[in-house]
Amino acid sequence: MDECPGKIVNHRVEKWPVRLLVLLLEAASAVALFALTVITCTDVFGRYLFNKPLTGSTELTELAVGMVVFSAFPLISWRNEHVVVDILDRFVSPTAHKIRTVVFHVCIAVGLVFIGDRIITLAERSLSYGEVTEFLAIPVGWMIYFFGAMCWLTAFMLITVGIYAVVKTTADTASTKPAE
Amino acid sequence: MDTSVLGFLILLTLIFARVPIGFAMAFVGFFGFAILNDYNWVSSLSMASRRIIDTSQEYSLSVIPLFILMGNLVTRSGLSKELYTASYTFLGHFRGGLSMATVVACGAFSAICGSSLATVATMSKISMPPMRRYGYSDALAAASIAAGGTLGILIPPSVILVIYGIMTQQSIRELFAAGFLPGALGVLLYLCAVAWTVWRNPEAGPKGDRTNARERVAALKGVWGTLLLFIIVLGGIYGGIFTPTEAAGVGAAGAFFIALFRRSLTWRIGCEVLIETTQTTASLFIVVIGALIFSNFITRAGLPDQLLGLVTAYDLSPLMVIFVLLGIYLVLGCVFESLSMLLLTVPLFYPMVETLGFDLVWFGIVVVVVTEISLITPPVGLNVFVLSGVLKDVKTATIFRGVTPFWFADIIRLLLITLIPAISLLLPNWLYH
Repeated sequence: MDECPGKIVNHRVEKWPVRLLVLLLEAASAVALFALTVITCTDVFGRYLFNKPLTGSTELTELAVGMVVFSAFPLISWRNEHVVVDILDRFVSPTAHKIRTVVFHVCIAVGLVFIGDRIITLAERSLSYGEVTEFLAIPVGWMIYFFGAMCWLTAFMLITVGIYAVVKTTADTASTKPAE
Repeated sequence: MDTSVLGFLILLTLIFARVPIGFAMAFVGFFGFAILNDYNWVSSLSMASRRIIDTSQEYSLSVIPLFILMGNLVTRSGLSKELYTASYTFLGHFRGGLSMATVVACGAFSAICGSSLATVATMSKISMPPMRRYGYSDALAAASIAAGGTLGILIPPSVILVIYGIMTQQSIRELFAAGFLPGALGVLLYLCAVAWTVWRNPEAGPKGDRTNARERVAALKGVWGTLLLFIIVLGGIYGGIFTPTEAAGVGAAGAFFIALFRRSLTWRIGCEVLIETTQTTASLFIVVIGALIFSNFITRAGLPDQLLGLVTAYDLSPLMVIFVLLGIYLVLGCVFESLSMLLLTVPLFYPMVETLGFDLVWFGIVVVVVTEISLITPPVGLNVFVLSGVLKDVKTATIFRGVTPFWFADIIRLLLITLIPAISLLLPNWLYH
C-alpha cells in the first residue's frame, strides 16, 4: 500500500471562508470514521458478550463509509492530493506544471458537474420510489443526494480555491514536491 | 484501431501527463463505454453514477478506512522502537543479526501499519543508528530497511488484497488466509539474503551483543499489546469469529487503546490521525471507483476475451501465460505505483487467468508479490528513493547494490509461489473448505 500517512498538508493558502469549510468537512469525515469504528465494535461486542448484535449495523456501516469518502473528497481534490504517477515531473518546467494542473482542474470540474447532475437525478428517482434501507428504514436517496452535492461542491472548489492555490504557489515548491 | 486498445493508449498518456489516476480511468472508461454504446452518453453517465454510488457504500470496502486507521494509530504510538528491540534480542547475536532484526521488525511493523513507505521512513530512524554503531555497511543496512518495508503489503491485514478481492469477486477472508504463508516465506528468504550477504562479506554485518533470557522477556513486554492485537485481528478473521470489517473495527479500537495506554495520544493527535485516515481513504476510493468504471468499459469492449483468443491462437501453455503476465508486471512495476498498476491490469487479466483454470485467490497473491518486488527494483523502486530521501548521506546506487540479494530472494519467492500454488492455498483450503 502506498499511501503515505503523515503527509504535510498546506493550509497556508486557505483563509477564512475556505478555512471554515475545511473545518466542517474534516469534522464530518472524522466523525463518520469514528462512528464507523464504534458501530463495528458495538456490533461485535454486542453479539458475543450480550448475544444482541446492533440492529442495522451493516447499513450504518455503509452510510458511514459514504460519509467518510465524500466529505474528504472536495478537500483532497482542491489540494491536489490524488494518486498520480509523477516519474516524469523532473522533465516538466514549473510553469508547464502549473498550466497542466489548472487544465486538469477545469476538466475534472466539468466532468463532476455532469456526473453530479446524474447522481442527483438518481437520488430523486430513489426518493420518489420510497427506497429505504432494510432495518432502519433510512431513505437511501438522501445519501445519494449528498454524493451528488459533494461532486458539485468539489467542482466549484476546484475552479475557485484549487486554481487560486496553483497560481499562488511559488514556482519552486511546485517543482520539488516529494515523490509519494 | 480497436476502441479498447486506443482507450488503453489514451489512458496511459493521461496518466503519464500526471492526470490523477482515478479520474483518468473514469474519463476513459466513461467515454469508451459511451462510444461502444453508439454514443449513448446518458447510459454511460448512469453507469458511472451507479458505480460511484454503489462503491461508496460498499460494505466490504469499509475495512479500508478501519485498517488504515489502525495503521496510523500504531504508527503514531511509537511502537517501532519496541518492535526493533524485541527482534534484536532474539536475532542480534548472529552474524548480520542487526539486519535480520531490522527485516523482522519491518515485516511486523508494515503488516500492521499497511504502508511500506511509512515503514521505511519510520524504521530507518530506529534501526539505522545501531547498525551504524556496530559498523554495518551502508549498503546492507539500508537495503534491509528498504526490502523489509515491502513485506507488509502481503501480510494480512492487507488493503491491497481487499481491493483485489472487490475487483475479482473473491472472498477477502480467503485472500487474507492465502497471504499469510507467502508473507512468512518472504521474511525467511530475506533473512537468508542477509545471511548470504554476510557470508560473502563478513565485514558488512558483524555480530551484535548476546542477550539473556531476562532481557528477552523484558523486550517482549514492550510489544505484547501489538502482538495481541495482531493475533486477535488475524485469528478472528481466520477463525470465522469476525468478518474482515469487524476485525478491522476491533483492530482500530485496539490500536486506539494501545496508543492511549502509551500516552502518545492527545486530543490533537487523535483528530489529526482521524482526518489523515479519511483523506487517504478518499484518495484510495477515487482510484478504485475509477478502476471499476474503466473495467466496465474494457469488459464491454471484450478485451479480456480478445486476450484469451490471442493466447489460444498462439497455443501458449497456461503456465507460459502466467510467466508472460509476470514479465509484464515486472516491467510495469518500474513505472507505476503498486495499487494503480494492480487496478489497471487486474480487470484485464483475471477473466483470462480464470478461464485458463487458475485459482484467482492464488493469482491475487502472485500479483501482490510482484508489486512488492517493484518497490525495490531499479531504476525507480519507490522504497529505495524514500529511504535515500530520509538517509541523506547514503546514495541511491549504494542502496540498490545492497538490495540485489533481497531482490533475488524475492524472485525466488515469486517462482516458488507461482510454481507451488499450495504455499498460498494451503491455509485457506484448510480453514474454509
